[in-house]
Amino acid sequence: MNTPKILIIEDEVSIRKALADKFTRAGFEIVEAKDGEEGLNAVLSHKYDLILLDLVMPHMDGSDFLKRLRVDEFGKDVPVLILTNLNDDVKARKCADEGGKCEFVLKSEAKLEEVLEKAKKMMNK
Amino acid sequence: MAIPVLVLLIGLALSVWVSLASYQNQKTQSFLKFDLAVNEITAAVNEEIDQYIHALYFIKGLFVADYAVSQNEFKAFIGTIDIKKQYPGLSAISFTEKENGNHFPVKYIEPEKENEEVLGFDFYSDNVRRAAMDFARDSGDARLTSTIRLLPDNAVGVLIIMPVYRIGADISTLELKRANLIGFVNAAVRIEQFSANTLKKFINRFNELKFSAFDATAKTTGNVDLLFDWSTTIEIPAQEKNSNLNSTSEIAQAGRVWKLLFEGGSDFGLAESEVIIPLILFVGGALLAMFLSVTFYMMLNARYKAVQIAELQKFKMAVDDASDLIVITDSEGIVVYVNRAMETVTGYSPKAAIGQKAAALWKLPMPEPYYKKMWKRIKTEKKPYVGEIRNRRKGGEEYDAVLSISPVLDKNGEIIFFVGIERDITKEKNIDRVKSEFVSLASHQLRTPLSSVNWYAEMLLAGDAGKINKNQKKYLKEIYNANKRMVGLVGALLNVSRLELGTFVIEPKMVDIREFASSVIKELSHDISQKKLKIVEEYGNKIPKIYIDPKLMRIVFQNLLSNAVKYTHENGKVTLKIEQKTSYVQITVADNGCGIPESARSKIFTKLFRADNAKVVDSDGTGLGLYITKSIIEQFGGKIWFESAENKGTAFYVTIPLIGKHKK
Repeated sequence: MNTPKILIIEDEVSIRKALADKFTRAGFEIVEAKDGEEGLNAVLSHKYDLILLDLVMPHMDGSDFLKRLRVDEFGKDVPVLILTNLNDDVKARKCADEGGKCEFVLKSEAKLEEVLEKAKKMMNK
Repeated sequence: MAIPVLVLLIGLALSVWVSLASYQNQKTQSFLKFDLAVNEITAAVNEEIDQYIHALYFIKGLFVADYAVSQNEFKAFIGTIDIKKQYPGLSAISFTEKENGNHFPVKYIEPEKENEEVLGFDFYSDNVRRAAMDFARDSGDARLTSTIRLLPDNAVGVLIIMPVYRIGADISTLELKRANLIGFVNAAVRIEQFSANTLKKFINRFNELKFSAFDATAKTTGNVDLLFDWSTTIEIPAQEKNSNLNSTSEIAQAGRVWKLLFEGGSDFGLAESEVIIPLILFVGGALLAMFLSVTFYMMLNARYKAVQIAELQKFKMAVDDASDLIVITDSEGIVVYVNRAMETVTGYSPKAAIGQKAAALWKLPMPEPYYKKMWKRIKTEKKPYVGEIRNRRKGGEEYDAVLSISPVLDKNGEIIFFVGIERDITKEKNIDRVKSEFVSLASHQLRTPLSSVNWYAEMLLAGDAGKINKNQKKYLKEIYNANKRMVGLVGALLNVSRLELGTFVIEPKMVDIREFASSVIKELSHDISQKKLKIVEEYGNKIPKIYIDPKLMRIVFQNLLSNAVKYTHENGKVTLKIEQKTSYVQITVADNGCGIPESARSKIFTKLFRADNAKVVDSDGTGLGLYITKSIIEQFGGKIWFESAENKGTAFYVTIPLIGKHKK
C-alpha cells in the first residue's frame, strides 16, 4: 500500500510546519504549499489523498483554490479539510456541507491530534 | 382680560361715589340755605311787627304828654316818624277816642288823605276789633287783632292796638285800667303792602321758596286764618313734596301767635348750573372709566398678541433650526411641516417635501413588517414609536437614523397629526462599525499565533519532540492552559463584535435543545468531577424541536452551565431544567454557589462587568459571557433573568419562543 499523500496549503510557516511534523510522524507523505497558487500547481502534477487547506492566504485564497480544484480532473474528488480561524465563514460552511469530501476545523480551538484524527477518518472513507 | 374690566368697575364705582358725595354736599348746602332763609324771614317778620309796636309806644307818648291832642299835633307828630319811609309795611296809624257808652270812633288818622272815610268809624262796633281792644285795655299792652278787613277798601290785614290811659292815673288793677282808659292808638297793617314792602328783598335771594303765615293763636285744629300767602315761585306739584324741604316757625307778638310755613325745592338755593354737577360728575367719570378700560384693553391685547407672536416665533425658529429632522404629518402621513434639517439629511427642501406622502419621500427601505409594527403602534395603539431605522436620501443613498414618532391627539383621542423626530446616526453607526471591525480583524489575527502556541505546546506535551521531565511538563501545561484561555477570550470578543455588527451568520435548524445541554455538560465533565458536583438534569418529555441556530444555542448553554460550575463550591449542586410552557421553552440553570451580590445585580448583563466575588473565584473571566448570552437570547426573541441570594445560589431563567426568529 502506498503511503497516503497529503497536501498542506497554508501561508503561516509555523502552522504549516506543525501540521507537516505531526502528519509526517503519523506516517504520511507531505507536500507543502504556501498559498493557493502553489497548491494548485502541486495538485495539477500529483494526485493527493487529502488536502489540508487554509482559507485566508495571499495571491489565491482557499475559496478560489477550492473552486479551481473542483473543476480539475485530479482534484474533483480529493477530500479537503479546511483549517481556518474564520468560524463564521459561510463559504467554509458550504464546503463543509459538500457531502463528506470537505470538512471544517477551527484552528485555534482544535487540538492537533483532533486534526490528525479527522484527516484519517476522511481518508478512510 | 381682567384688568380692563377691573379698571371699568373701579372707574364706575369712583364716579358713583364722587357724584353721590357731590349730591350729598348739595343737599346739605341746600338744607343750610333753606334753614337760613327760614330764620331770616321769620326774624324779618318778627322785627317788623316789633318796630310797629315800638312806633305805637312812641305815639302813645304824645297822649301822655298832653291831654288834649289836636289833629294838627297828631299829624305833625306822625309826620316826624315818616311812616312811609320808616315803616313801609304800615298802611295807617289812627287814634280812637273813648266816648260815652263805650264807643271808640276814629278821631285822627294818618295819612289822613287816603283814610278820610275811616274818621268817626267806631272800632268798638266790630267784634274782632273789640276783642283786641278789650284785651289791650285789660293788659295794658299792645294787642294784635286776628285777620280783618281793613277800611276803607276792605283789604286783608291786621291791627295792632295800643291802649292809652289817663295821664298820671294808677293802672295797677284791672278796674283802674278800665276806669282810666281814654282811647287807643292803632297801627293798620295791610298784608299785601306788608308783604310787598318787607319781604320783597328775599325774592331775589331765595328762589323756589314758598312761604305762608297763619294766625294760629289758641287754635290747634280747624280753619286757621290765613294771614298771607307768599311764594317766590309757582306752586310746587304735590307729588314732589316728599323730596322737598319743609319747615315751620312761630312768631308771638302782641298776644297773638303767627305760624309761618316754609316750603322749598330739593335743590333749594342752588343755581341751575350747580344742580347738574353730580350728573356731570357721574357721566364724566363713567366715560373716563370706559375710555381707560378700552385703552387698557387695547394696550394689553396688543401686548398679549405681541408676546404670543414672539413666543410662536421663538418656537418656530427653534424648531426650524433644530439639528434633528422634525416632520409633522397629518393623520394620513402627508407632510405638513418639515424643518431645515430635512434638506441636510434627506436632500429634499422643505418646500419640496410639504404636501408629499412621507412614505414616498423616504421610499421605505426597511422590510415591510417593520412599517406594519410602526403603524400599528402609532395609529392603532396611538402610542409613540421609538426605534432605529434605515432610510433613504433623495439620491437613493441609505442612512441610519434614530426615529421617534408621536401621535398628537385631540380632546376626543383622535389623531390630528404625527410628529416625527429623526436623527441621522450614520456617522456614529460607521464609527461603531469600524470599531467592531477592528476588534474582529485584530481577533482573527490573534488566532493564528494562538494556534501555533496551542499546537506546539500540545506536541511537546505529547512527547512528539522527545521525552520531557515532570517540571517541563508542568510548565508546558501552564503555557497550554493560558493559551486556551486566550483563545476563549478572543473567541468571546469576536462574538461580541459580531453581535454588535450584526454579522453573526445565523443558520437556524430544527434542533432538540436537550442534546446541546447534555453535550455541554459532557464538555464540563472534567471540572464537574474535580469539584464533585452533583448535576441534576430535569428534561420534560415532550420538548419540541426549535428552529434555532445551534451554534448560538450552544454558546448560551456553555455560558450558563460553565458559570454554574465555576461559581459553585465543591460538593455543590447544579440543576438544569428544560420545560415546555404554552408558547415557549423555559430553561433553568440553578446552583447553590456563591450567588450574585445585591450591588452587582443590576449590572450583571453589562459588557465587561464582573462581580467582586466572581473575581475572587475566577480571576480570568472576561465579563462577556452573560452579555453575549443576553444578546443571543434577545435575538431569539426570548428573555433572560435571574434570582440570586449571596452564598446561597443563583438561578438563571431563559425563555425561547417556540417559533424561533430567523435572521439572515
